[in-house]
Amino acid sequence: MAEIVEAPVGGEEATSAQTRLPFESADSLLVVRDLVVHFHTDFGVVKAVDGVSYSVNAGETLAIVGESGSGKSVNASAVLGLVPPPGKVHRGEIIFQGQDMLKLDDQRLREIRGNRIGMVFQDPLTSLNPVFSVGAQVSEAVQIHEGLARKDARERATELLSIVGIPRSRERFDDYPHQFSGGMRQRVMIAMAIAMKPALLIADEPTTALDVTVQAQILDLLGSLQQEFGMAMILITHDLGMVADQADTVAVMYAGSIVEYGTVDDIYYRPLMPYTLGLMASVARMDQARSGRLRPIRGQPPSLIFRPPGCPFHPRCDYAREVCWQEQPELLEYDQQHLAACHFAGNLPEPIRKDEP
Amino acid sequence: MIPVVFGATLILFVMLFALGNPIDSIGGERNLDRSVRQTIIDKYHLDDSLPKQYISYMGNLAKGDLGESILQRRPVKRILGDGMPWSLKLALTAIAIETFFGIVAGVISAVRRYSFLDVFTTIGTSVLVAIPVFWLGLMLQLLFGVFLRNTFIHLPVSGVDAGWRSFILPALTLASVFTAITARLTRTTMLEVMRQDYIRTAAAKGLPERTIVYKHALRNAMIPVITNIGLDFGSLIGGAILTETVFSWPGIGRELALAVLRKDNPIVIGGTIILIMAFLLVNLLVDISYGFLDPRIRYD
Amino acid sequence: MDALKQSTPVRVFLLLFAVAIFTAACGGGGGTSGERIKGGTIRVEESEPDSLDANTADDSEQIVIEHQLYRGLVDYNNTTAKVQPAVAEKWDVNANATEFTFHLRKSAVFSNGEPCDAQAFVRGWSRATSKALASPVAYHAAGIKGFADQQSGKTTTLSGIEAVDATTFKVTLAAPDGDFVVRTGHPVFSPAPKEETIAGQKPSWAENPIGNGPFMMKEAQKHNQVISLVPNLKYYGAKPFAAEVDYKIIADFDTAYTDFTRIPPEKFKEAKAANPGKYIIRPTAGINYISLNILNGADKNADFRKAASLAVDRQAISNAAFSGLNVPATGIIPPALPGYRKPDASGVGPCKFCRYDPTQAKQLFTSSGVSKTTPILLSFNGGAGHEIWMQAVAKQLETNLGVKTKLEAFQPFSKFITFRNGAAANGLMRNAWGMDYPTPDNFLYPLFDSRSDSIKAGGDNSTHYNNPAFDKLIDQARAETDTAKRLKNYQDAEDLVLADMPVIPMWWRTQFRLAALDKWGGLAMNAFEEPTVETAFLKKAST
Repeated sequence: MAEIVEAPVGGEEATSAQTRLPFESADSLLVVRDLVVHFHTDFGVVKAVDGVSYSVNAGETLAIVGESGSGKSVNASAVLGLVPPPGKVHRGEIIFQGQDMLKLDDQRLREIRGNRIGMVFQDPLTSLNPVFSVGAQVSEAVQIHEGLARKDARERATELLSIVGIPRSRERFDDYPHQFSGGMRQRVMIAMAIAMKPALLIADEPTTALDVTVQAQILDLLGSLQQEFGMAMILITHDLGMVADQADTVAVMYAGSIVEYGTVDDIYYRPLMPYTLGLMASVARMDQARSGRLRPIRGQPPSLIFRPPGCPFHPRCDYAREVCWQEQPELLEYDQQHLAACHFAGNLPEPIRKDEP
Repeated sequence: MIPVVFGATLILFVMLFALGNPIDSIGGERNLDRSVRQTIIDKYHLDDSLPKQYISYMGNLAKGDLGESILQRRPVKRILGDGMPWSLKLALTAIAIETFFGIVAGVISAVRRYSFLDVFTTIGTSVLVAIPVFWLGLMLQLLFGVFLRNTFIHLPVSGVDAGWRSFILPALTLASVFTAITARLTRTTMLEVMRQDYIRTAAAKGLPERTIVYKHALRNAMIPVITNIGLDFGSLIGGAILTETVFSWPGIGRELALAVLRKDNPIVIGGTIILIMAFLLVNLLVDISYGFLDPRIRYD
Repeated sequence: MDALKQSTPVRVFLLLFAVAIFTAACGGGGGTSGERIKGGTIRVEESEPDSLDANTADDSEQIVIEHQLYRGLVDYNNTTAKVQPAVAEKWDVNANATEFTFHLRKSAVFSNGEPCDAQAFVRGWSRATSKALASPVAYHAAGIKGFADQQSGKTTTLSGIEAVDATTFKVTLAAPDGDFVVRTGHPVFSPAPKEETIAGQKPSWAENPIGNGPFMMKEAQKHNQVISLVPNLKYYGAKPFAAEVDYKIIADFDTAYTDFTRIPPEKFKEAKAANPGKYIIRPTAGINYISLNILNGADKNADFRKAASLAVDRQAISNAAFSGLNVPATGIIPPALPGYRKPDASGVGPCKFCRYDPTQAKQLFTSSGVSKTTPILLSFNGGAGHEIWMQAVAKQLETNLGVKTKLEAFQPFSKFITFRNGAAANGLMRNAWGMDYPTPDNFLYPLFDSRSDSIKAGGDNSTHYNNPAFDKLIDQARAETDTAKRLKNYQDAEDLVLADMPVIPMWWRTQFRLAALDKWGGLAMNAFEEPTVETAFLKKAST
């Protein structure tokens, strides 16, 4: 799948990769085009991200949704140039505020990391360094970019800790990560990420490791901080339900590719393809009456080394027909700013397999 | 600590008792005159039964008396006391070498993984671990004492009378295996730590690689490494038997080795007790220092 | 004999390098001049002695120091090993050699100024024999009256000795011993200063003793490092030239820095070639031999013992295993001792069966009737360098006698000694003997007298040789005050042993030392294998 965005069905002209993405505008803070990230392992090449394009506008939130192993986290790491070895960005461009991140040298990249782009990770326990106090870790973020004196950095860090809602932040400054609860740790992570009031905050499954009760608090915190600082946000999650209130646009990823992309309303109310449908069915939705039991998507996500032929979702798809294992569907715009990669997008036939009991 | 000392001395007593009467090693080729033999046996109670010898030894030990060497006719405490400072100094020097070279080599090979330096370190450490210590000592003596004899890097190959220069070859020899192991351990733990999430966090903050490696990663990687070095120190104090022999080092390792060969049992037992206590003490110190290195343990 | 420190495999390995080091060390040649320059430090290779207490001096590493720290009643000539006056200027013996009266010189003092008078000898000898000291070498005084009471603790002063006045010291023996005077040169017979002086020495007497010899301790012994001696300016005799002697405790290796160095026999040829003019070779008072247990198995048969002795080519084995350093033994009394008899032109000395004669060996073996099928055991202490030559002996017995052999290396050393001394001992056993004092008695009584039997008396006669005629000759010799007649008695006793061959003499002990003869004049090796540091002088002022 080389070209990602094609002209609408029956469209007059094919748009090239250099043309505008569906949500791209003059305000677009981040534009990712045709990003390909491969991991060269002993078992073969893992195509973790295989030609992904999206954009985020200033102040808006893009949710990237998918099961684990769909490439969504790698995709986010790639934005900051933090793809762990042996991963390598193979192709593509990541334009942030007009600069291609992939062409920047280390020095320039470091100026952006933690400064103009902040990042919050999944597990706050493992993501905080256990041997430094939380205060030190937060002030480090300030010090490195602002060159503040130790004392000033401490002041600023204390302030940040109270902004993210850590009570008695001055007293708890010298405490170590293990002395905090999961939610509090994630607040520390957030304090570090927003220390420099970044233009873009990438939150990689920020609530997955937390208790359900805390999840909403953290999401609220992220939301209010976004409002306060006017940040754009990429919210990466496997939980489609979680993003309903937060996101402006949603990209659904499967096996390293975007399979559906649109506004939050389109995705929620007018999903075009079976995988999105499956995701919807597998989450509790607060805005709808409980219509039945939650249904997980059957089967396992595919191997990223030996990808199924045709549509990568076909082995798990209830609607799959012969064409699905013969031809790979392309991501096409079916509706205004609503794209999907499915041979039967918006026009699903009768499911072949009903729910197994 | 006390049960360990009890157990160890009991085992030693039984083993040494089984090896025969130490009186046999006095006199060498010549047989001791009968009356002289009896006089010495009486003086050191060498014909007493094993339990009787053990009880009387432990009684003296409780009073802090380690007895007297049968052959050297000096208090064991003084014999070991003379050797201990030299053994300690040598062990400390070796530890310094181990810490510095082991950690530097380990960090470099972890950070520059698969580079020339990494491969070099990996091969080098394998070789060092494989070389018998005494052979390495001999080769160093041959190199620095013979081949480089008339050059400015010539080094003393035995004894302690050339000041700090005397320490170089024995300390290098003693440190060799430990340095190699430390380098290996540092490399492994550094690689392990570099994969941790908090390293990614540090990078996401925009920290330069130097800060990430030497502040965030090293500090965490050092916890097992320092613990290991601490424990090494315990073994180094008594483990220098071969090195001390090869380099004529006046420490307790050599004294102990000689005592074993000559069945000078009071030195063997007293020396072992001292080494056990030193080892336990070092272990205790390591446990305590652990808290300073790892805040998670400090607060638990 | 002195308990020569055992060689370990590591030690032998290290010594292989010693030669290389020394070769490298001795670069420039020394000039020669007749001038004797004072000063300089002589460095002597040494192993750590157990103690420096002369009254317990039981090993060569210790005795080499005591010989410099102390002068007893007599001492031994460095070249001839003959007894010469020391603190005693002259002495008288009674008719049956049981009472000795020594007349001491007035000028002898300890290095701390205390007089070294007759009382000092009473103190020293009483101390050496006391129960409290439990000296391993007290037995040298066993012939003195009252010895047993001293050992048992009944007395604290040896009753057989007496300070008649300040300069007259009288010794009474329990049995005659014409060679007693010779014994008194052993360090165990050293004088001792006042008891409070001994008790007050720091850190202890055994580490910092005070003597009356040409040298004294510069400072307390530095354990495992160095023992430094400086000239004793109060010494009655000729003062040493060297300003200091450092006995460097170097385990085996660092020969480059010493002026007097031991080299293992198998490396001597190489060392000799590499250091022309800087070595000393001399036969010393010792013998390497093979002992048998004449009460057990084939060893009982005198013809077998003689056949075995004749079947061994001593020179060939010495050439192969010791680079020819060891000289084939031709008797029991070694060349350095009075009473030694030179071999005749054909190389045969008192021992008629010590030559190499496979034909006669075969004849004797045949007439012995000893079985060819039962293997002959050849045993030795393992790991001490005896493997090669014992194997060679086994090979020659097989070739020349047609017997089977079996080699056994005992470890540790004490296990071998226990075997060799015991009743189960059999076959050919490695053995060696060195002198305590230069008298033939020291090689005959302990090894062959029935009163020194290893089983019955705990002595060193492990062959269990028991010949009343021999014992009688020893008694006669001991009671004989005329030196020439005494020596004749000892030689007759030696002949008796050699007619029966309870041992197979192998080689006279011959020693090789690397010595900085280019730098030091007057430096030699005495019969005790010690460097003569008291006469050594710098050949030219050192830079």
